Amino acid sequence: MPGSTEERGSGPPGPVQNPEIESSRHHLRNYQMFPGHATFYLKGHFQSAGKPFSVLVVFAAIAVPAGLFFGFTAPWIWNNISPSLPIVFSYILLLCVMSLVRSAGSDPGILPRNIHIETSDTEKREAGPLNIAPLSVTVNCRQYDEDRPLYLPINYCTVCRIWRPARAIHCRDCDSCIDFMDHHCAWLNNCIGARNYRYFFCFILSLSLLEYFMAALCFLHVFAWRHRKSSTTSAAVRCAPVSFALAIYGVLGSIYPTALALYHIFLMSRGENTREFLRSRRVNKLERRRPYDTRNIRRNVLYVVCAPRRISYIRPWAIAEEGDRRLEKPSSQ
Amino acid sequence: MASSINPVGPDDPPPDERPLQIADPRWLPSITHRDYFRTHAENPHVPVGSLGASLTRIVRIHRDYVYPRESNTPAFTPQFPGYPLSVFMTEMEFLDLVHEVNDQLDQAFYPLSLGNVLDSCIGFLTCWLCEIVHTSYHKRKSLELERFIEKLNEEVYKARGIKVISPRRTAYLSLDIQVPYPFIRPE
Repeated sequence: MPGSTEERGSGPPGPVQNPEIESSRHHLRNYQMFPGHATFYLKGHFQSAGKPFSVLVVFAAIAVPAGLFFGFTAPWIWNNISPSLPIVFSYILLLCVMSLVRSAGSDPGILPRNIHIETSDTEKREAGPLNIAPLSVTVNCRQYDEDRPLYLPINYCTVCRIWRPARAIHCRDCDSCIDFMDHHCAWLNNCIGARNYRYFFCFILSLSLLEYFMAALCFLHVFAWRHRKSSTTSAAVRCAPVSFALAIYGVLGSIYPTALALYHIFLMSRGENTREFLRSRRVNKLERRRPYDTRNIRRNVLYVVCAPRRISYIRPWAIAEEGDRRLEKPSSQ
Repeated sequence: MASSINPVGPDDPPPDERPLQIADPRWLPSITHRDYFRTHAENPHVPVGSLGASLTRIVRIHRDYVYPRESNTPAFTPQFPGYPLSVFMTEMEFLDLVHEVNDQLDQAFYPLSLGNVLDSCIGFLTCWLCEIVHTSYHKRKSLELERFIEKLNEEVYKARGIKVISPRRTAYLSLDIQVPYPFIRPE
């Protein structure tokens, strides 16, 4: 049985005398038995696929300029132009940081293992060509175009031993099947899947907005100062060098998030995932299909944006059940 | 149990978005259970080698991709798998069960229902802080489905010896019905 047993003494646990004292010491949590490549923090509430170095770099790239902004530009704007502008900036900053934390630290929709066991050892002894379960099944999907029938392949994942749902993919970096997987983000060091996607989209949107707003306010600082003191641009820059640097940083730093945000809006309007889009590039142009496109851009976008955050399937923070085969490592078979 | 075989009404969504009914010509039979080859399988929800593992089997009702009105909503195919489930359940009871489960899942997962839209908007406006304290509509509906299945197991299916495994446990990948092995109704 997976998990360490030295805490439990001998045999299966019987009735516990003092449940308040002993339950927290003896019970393992699901994240300690997790078979994929993920590190968990804060008792399973946050996770990351491997070392979270790149997330910290991203966080620093947002927090440090924001700190400089609050130190140098914000007081001037608060006193001289309007107090509402720094407040709006802090709201966008809060949105960006919370989205970053949620998209990089949350379980993306990892599917539990061993739900659909197809060939087990007892059945293998009679294995012949008819006894081996097929590894792929073709099902129909909802037809939006009457002339071109579409089919979906449903594949069996031999590592996780489940029949994978239509838009789920097995991620090699996370070593798990992820429901509705979009892509594995190297910056955030986490997969973007069903539970994560709206936080990810919100993050790139708010990041580009943050950069624009910071650039706008810093340029405002420089040029308003120049206007009020009726002086030259170079004098204004010399007086507020940090603001000017932040403005340039904002302009440069907004390019990548804006491109990503526009790309994702384009994908959402077509009812596609990043993975599906990239896979379809390898197929002949006439044979490309988009089975999830409802042929209505507004509906496609709303379906993705308002999709609910699903409950976690593996629940890393929950107390582990005895003999729970959903978290078994494959080597123990 | 109320099941919506004919849900058409004045407030209903447009035909494109309604779940398809069996008589609808656009509803192609999504899969046959025979495509997945096994009519019953080993029970993965009990520990390996325990008493339950040798005395129970699972009848799997797989997912259907034609029935739900939104493609990411899990729904289970209303095709009756025949033997061995026919020993424990009639086809009408099976259809009632599957349609009721599908309806509740549709309520929980449909993105344009009022609860989900409000949760998304308010979550966005409060910078996702409101989700820390508030249980979302989706979670409430999913837990309602769990309670419904538990109640059904207690009241109806326990006497027949079968049990519907909670869909949350199987991550909505399939509706598992645990049947006793050998396939004899305990009466």
